[in-house]
Amino acid sequence: MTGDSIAGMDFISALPDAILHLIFSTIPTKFAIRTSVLSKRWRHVWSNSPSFAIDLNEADPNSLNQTLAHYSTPKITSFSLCISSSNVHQINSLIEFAISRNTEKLSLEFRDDCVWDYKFPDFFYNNSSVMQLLVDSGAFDTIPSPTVFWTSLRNLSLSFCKLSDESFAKILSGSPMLESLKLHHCDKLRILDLSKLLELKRLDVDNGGPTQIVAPHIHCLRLRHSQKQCDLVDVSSLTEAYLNIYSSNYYLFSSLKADFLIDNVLEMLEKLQNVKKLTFGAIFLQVLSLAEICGLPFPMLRVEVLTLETTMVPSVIPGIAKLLQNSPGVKMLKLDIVDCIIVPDAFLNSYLDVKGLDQNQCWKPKDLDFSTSFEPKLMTSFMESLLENTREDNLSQYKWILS
Amino acid sequence: MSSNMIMLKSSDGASFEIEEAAARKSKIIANMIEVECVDEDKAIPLQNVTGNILALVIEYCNKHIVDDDDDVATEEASEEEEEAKKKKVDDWEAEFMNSMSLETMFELLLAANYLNIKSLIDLVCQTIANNIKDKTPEEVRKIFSIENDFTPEEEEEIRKENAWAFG
Repeated sequence: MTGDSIAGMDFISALPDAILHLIFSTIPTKFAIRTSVLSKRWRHVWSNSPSFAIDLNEADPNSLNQTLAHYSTPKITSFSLCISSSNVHQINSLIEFAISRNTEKLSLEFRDDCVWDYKFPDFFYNNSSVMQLLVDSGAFDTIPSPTVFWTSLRNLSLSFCKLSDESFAKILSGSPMLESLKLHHCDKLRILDLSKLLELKRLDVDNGGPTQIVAPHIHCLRLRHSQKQCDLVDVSSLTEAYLNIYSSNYYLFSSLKADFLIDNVLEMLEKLQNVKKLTFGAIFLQVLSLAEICGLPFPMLRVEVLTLETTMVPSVIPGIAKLLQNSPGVKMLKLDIVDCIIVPDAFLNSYLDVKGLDQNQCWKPKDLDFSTSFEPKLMTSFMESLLENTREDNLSQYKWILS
Repeated sequence: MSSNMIMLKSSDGASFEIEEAAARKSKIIANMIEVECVDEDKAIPLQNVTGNILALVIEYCNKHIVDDDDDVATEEASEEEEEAKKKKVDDWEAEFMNSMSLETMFELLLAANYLNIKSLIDLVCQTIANNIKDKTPEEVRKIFSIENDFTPEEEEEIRKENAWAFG
């Protein structure tokens, strides 16, 4: 900002409260509270602001209670806590406060190991006003018997949470309006049965534990599954999917254990045959390359918009080539070059060794058939950007067949 | 995207021609186009916005037409290009906000609010918020020329109510 055109004029104080509340919603509430001493105009502006975000580490309980006593807004749109103390009583009373003000979006981030064993009080599960709930590092492994009652919940996001199949089933049966579900690093989950949730359209699982996903109603799936077996039992309404693999253990590839991963990836692909919009990540493509090199059969895909979100290394090329061959209906092909995690070549090579394949022959095939029935123009521009972006020199050793 | 042009008229009588796609960034104008079938020869009168502020609003809208048009615009763009494009927009926005006085900024915010252009409201609010965040009340008063009409005792009392927030 440059200097004031009319020095000394106080413009900000003339803004309506609703706009000042918008400004407050972008900063920690601590700074909104500080404005109460600016002038009499500002005395009560923050206390009617519908958003509240604090880090408990910064607030001693007694002082915070006093603040809450002055926080008079009847309806909170967003209530966000960063929790790093083990003061169970304080956490409970803050959650109770949020619920009593009909909070729409409740966000709880547990920051410290000492709150790892914190158990949500029963009233937490009985909340008919919350529409969006985000919990980071919370424990849901035991939910007491009065069941979950989240009748307005549309959007649930759980990261690094202790979550058992049993308790998650309770959560789902108590959230009939759920539209969007995000599960990141909740690795205790095994069976994810979403068949009863008729409104659920979006599912996002990142490095999750589920070995079975039953989600007949979802339209949009984002799955970065771990290297464990993951079975897409029913995803029959899917129109859009992103798939990748979260790789924490490259050594898997130096043994025959990678066989099941390759089979699993091909099985997933088969479940995506009718999906119109597909995006694949780099490790997924690398595994597809291994499948192609081993000569395994690929399903045909009806994909229309195909996006490859990958870094360009030789080990993704055979997989890409095979995908293109098997996707005759592609109308739009997008190459998203990203800096991403890939399996180092050494591990892929040791898998090929285990399979008795000559790695030199495998990665440098004489002919790589890129024949597809796409529009030539689309293919040409794709190949151009593929060539432009490929890092390694040895890619030029491929002899590409373009038709 | 249609490239129809429509006319806007400011409270002080200045007329501006703007692409319909850019004007649609304003929910109010988009609504007028949908419901009232805007007459092509007639300017839409905006009683609450002066010409100099409307010019800024239009500058902003023109700059942001493409952004909402993802599907078409990014068809061939790589991630890097997209990132570069985003940085360009960010830089443009920073420069745009930097070039105006506080008074203009607040008038622009009120205009964006009246015209219901969410991304512009967010941009101005964020710029103002950055001048409140991590600052002491004394600093905020100075930046925005706010006159303190509390007695020291009154101010002390309010600080006591929320002692942790002033730590």
